[in-house]
Amino acid sequence: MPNNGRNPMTINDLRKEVEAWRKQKPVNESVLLFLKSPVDRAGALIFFVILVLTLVFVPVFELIRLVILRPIFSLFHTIVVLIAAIFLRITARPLIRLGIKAIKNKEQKRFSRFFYTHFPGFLRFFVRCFGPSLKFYLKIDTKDVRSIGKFQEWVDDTLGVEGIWVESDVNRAVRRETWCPFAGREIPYVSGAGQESRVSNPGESLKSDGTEFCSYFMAGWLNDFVRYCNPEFEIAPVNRMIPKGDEFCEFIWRRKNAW
Amino acid sequence: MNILISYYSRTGHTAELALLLAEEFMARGHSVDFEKIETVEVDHHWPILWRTQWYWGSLALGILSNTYRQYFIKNYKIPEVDLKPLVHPDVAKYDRICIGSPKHTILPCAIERYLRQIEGLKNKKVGYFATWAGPPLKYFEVEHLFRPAADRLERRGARLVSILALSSMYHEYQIMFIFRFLSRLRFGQPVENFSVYSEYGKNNRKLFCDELILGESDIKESKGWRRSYDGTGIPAVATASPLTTLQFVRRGYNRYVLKKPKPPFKKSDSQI
Repeated sequence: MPNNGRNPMTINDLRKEVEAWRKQKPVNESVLLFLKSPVDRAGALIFFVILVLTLVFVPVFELIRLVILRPIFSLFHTIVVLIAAIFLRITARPLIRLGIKAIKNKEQKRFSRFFYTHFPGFLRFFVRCFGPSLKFYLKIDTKDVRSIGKFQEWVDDTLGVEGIWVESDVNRAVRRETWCPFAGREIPYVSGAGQESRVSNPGESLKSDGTEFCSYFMAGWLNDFVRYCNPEFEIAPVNRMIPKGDEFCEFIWRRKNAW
Repeated sequence: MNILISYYSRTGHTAELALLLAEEFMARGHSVDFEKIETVEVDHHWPILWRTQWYWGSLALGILSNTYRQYFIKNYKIPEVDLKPLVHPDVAKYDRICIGSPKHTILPCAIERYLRQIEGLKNKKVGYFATWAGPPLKYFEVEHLFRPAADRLERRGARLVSILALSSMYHEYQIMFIFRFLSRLRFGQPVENFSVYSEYGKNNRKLFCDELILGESDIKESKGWRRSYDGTGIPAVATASPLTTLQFVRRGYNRYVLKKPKPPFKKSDSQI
């Protein structure tokens, strides 16, 4: 609905509103007169107490936080993120291979079924362990979906994926991955994909369909991180992917619900 | 030119300024639409103070350190409140957008949500007008409202091209006497000289409309928040650091303790 069911306001409406307001325009009173209602007295008392406390303690806490705690936290979170990056770098290829096999054999083999069912849980565990440090390290603003999207940038930088942001708004951000080191090797693609000419030895895995790895595991992982940062946002279902024959993989970060 | 005036007004003063600006735009032949920003829950004045009073301790630290104040304004997380459905949720069809609000220590929570909620802000030129109790002090007043607004607009791809801050001569907590004192202290003028209907107010309303229609300036890049303190009739002393608020202490010390003679009065450039 274009106007959300509300009538647009005209200048005459505003004039009437202001005219009505001018007749009973609020005026300044003495502070003592202002405190005549019990609510205002209670509010003023609470405010005064908190004001004194904040004026005394907040500068002290801020100095301690900025001079002592922040450098300590920075060091700690940087080390944790470094560990996460090394872990990801080492385990990415084997996990992707396992994931592709699990997707292919999930109906037949027990281990594949187990892996297919529980791998998202493991990725969620990763987010739970490293999420706070990544949030601190990447300086993520949880109200801004583009800022949350720095996580994908970090994953890409760690794994050697190339991509660009084509949309960067606080409510919607779109990232296109133009080069993936796994596409064509671990993750097969159909003939004619944009990246095909750049891979010399595609490997045997080309015989199976691996698009589900990105659309299910990878997008699910990103979704876990988004949900951890701000449940208002989500990753849209991934439709355009290099393994499907597109020029790029497109990840859309967006608001989940209407305002 | 199509102009949208969105305003959030609790006590009615910002609505009045929105009307005056709309009349100015219409007199110049532009078409104006309105968006009245309303919160879902009625804001009583104590909850508003509750949301921002934690900030006041940092504000005290900000007087001592410019660097800390800049850091804090940049990183302070402003809480949000839910808004009633907007009449114009997509502002893409408008050439210029005017946003108006009071100042609740920093950017009001309703405006924080509004700036995140509206669509179609990309490449738009925006003007921001505000009413608050005191004079347009650079630190803690102009900077605390317009800088967060400029940051948020920049993040949405829009540009803040014009600002206007006038005194409503009213404070909900009835502490106008503080602002009267500050106005005398910093500007040497009564706060009435900065009100909506003062000479300063009239001139700056026109300037605001001119700059918004022209759309060439960039408030964030100018780094001066120029017009609000360097505009008509305001001496240049307001450009000094916040510690100059305490210059009367220094003056008294020089005069009565060190027994220095009073320096001869010199007119600043803006007064000549």
